[in-house]
Amino acid sequence: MNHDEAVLVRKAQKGHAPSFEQLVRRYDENIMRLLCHLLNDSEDARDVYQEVFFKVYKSIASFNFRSEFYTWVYRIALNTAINFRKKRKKNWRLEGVEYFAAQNELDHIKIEDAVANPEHNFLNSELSLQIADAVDQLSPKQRAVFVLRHYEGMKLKEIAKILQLNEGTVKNYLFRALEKMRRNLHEYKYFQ
Amino acid sequence: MACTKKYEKWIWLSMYDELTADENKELMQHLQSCEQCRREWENAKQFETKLSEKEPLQVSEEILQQSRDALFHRIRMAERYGTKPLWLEKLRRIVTLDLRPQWRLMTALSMLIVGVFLGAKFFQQSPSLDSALLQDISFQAESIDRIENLSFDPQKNQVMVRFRTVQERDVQGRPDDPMIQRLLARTLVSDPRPNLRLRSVNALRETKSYSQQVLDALIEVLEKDDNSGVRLKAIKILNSIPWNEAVQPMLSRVFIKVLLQETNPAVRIEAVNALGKILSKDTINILNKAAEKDSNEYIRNKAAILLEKVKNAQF
Repeated sequence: MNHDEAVLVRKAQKGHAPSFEQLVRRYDENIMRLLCHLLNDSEDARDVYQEVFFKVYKSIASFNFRSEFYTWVYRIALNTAINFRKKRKKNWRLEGVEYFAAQNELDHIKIEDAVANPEHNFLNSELSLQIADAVDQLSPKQRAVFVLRHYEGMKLKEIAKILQLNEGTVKNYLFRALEKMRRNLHEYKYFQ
Repeated sequence: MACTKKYEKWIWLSMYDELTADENKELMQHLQSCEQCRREWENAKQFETKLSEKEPLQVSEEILQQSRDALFHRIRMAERYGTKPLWLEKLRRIVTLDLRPQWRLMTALSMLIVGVFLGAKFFQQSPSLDSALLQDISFQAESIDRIENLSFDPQKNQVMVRFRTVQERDVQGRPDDPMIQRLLARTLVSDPRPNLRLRSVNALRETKSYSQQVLDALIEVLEKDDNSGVRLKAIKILNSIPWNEAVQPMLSRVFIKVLLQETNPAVRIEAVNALGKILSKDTINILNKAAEKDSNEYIRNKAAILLEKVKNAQF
């Protein structure tokens, strides 16, 4: 952990609100994106964002500097998201898949791009929908490893620290996740 | 093949640059001699490329700022009043029987009696979720205060809607259920959340019978919804409805409007395909216009092909 961040954490531990706010701003965009990928629903992601940073606020005094601060925050985020998904009613399981289509992808069909190649853009949005669905079908650990590696660009060594697993196990999770996704996406014409 | 599992795993890890230099070297050497693994390598590479084509998710600054404001407000409240309100703390002590010993037994017995009473009252006499809904003939979609959530399970062909009247309610039913259709129509035209509107259209896609209210809602969405994904799904449904004398004038008017005014080409493509099914002077005029002036090449070509077909049919 760099000196600047350690100072902020120590101040936040003593109840200094501006320091805590700075720490939140440093990581919250990544955490929100991670939660969107893990939960597949923007509304849920916003709810869990609250829970994650409120937990960070409540337990920052117990942070003991044995790990990186961001590792600790990511661990809280992953655990909170996993618990949230468990609690979410089974009947609502399918809800998030369309989030990307409605909120992001189909709206990203920019007029100029679409004029150039509308079918490609439409298929691309369908592709995103299929990928989001395939990610949604992974087990919690597989999903966490895949999202952190593929979307957040973290190295497996860092992911192993966050998940408190050894690197070999994390490699296995990534391999299994990709295998499963390839199987699930095989029916889709883009992946044949 | 004994080598396959080990190298298959390495192939995937190499896509993410997660092999050591030695492992990478060994893999490359192996690929030169193993046809099967080489094919696997090509497949993995293609798959990874496709995955990477997905545009990265952007979190808007506005959403982030709203979330921060809510968080910091919650923290300020917690600092002022403590993390748990007093009544919640009292309730926790009762529920967990964190009481003086003489009160524990009394409280446990009271809770048991209350539980049995509530169970008997609500679970024996009240009808099930579905039958309660079906019997509730006085229910009017207009009395709904707000749709809280909506989901569609295509495997079971079931729509679940959570809405609020005076209290929150859950209902479940097939997309062709008139009650469910009223809720879906309402969500389509009045819910501000695009993901719920999209789920409504997805649910409607799975039925073949549409109430007039649903048709009106789909048309309203097609003309006014600001989300192109929702508009696209709506026009696909309208395009799939068997055209008869009752709906044809209304739908052809809507599709003409879409072809002339819609900004998203994917939606206009659906409109041009739909109009190709109607052979009338109006539609031919519009197709002529599209063949000449539409900014999208695909639509111009499609309109020209349809006109050619019409000409050959000597309409």
